Amino acid sequence: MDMDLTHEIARRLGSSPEAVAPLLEEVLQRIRQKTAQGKTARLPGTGIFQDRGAGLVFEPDPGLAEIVNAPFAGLDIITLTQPAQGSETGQARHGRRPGRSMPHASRKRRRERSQEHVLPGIGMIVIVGIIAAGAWFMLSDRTADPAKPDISASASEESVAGDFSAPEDTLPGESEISPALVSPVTNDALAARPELLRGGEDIDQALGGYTIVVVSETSEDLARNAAQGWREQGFRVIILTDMQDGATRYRVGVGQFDLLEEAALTRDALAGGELPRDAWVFRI
Amino acid sequence: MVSRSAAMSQNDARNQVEHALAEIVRETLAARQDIQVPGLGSFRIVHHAATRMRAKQGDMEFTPPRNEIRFTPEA
Repeated sequence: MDMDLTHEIARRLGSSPEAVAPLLEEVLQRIRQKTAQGKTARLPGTGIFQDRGAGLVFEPDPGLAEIVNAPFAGLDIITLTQPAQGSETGQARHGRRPGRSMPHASRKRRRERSQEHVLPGIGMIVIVGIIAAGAWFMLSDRTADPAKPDISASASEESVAGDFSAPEDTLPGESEISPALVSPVTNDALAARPELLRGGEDIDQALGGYTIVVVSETSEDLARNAAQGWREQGFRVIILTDMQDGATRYRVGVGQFDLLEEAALTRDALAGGELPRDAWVFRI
Repeated sequence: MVSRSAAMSQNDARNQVEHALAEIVRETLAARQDIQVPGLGSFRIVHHAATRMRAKQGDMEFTPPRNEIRFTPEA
């Protein structure tokens, strides 16, 4: 800050710099003397000074440390744990996590388990299909040959499930095996789902989940303007209000994610690029 | 006020200056600006960006950004 401290103090006190200068020097000298004696000197509402032999050290009051960190107030450390049986995969350190979300890794494991059951089933269907196609071929051949007994009616009824020539008969089979054809959704893929971040509609607060805070303001107008800017860039936005130190803070969030993991990985992938470097995940 | 009140003791006047100094330091830092106090040292805000760390057993920990007040005593 480029200011003449003496002049600024004089201005605030309605005094003159000449009158303030010796008093300011007294204040500073007291701090230097006390700390030189190994004592603690306090600057009211700011912090304490002490000298333990390695030079003057300043420790800010917790209140001041909070003020300089106001834009980041309420942001929690996020830990994404490795998938383990029965464990959740992600959590904010202060335990703010929706109970309704199924942990992603659990969903993945369940999908993998379902594939283990489905894959042998596919083999069986293929084998039955080959046998049925062979039977159909032989029966057609017999029908064409008047010397052979005509058993096509009964045989075709028995082989309906494996009759690949009738598309409508294959539909139930397809619906059974379709889960195996869908690639497991990874965390990375979830992080890249664009519809969570961008879209024509703003975020629905009633649906909850997590968002990525990109702007934090104490002025509602500034927050609204910022939100509009993000909206015009195609992001789904929300303004969340929060009380910090007796003042309302307006946070602009982009994107809506069911899972903490999705939000955290998306933030990690885009912060410093599409999103500000200090963007952070916040509970809606 | 320092000069307006003749009855004001030296201690009161010094206290007022001390509080005014503290107020200016506080306001300046709250505005995320640096400030130098001649005869004492300089205060500045150091910003720490968010970090991502690999913790035990492959866990991943994301630490939010924060500001730190750093004081450098006058030489």
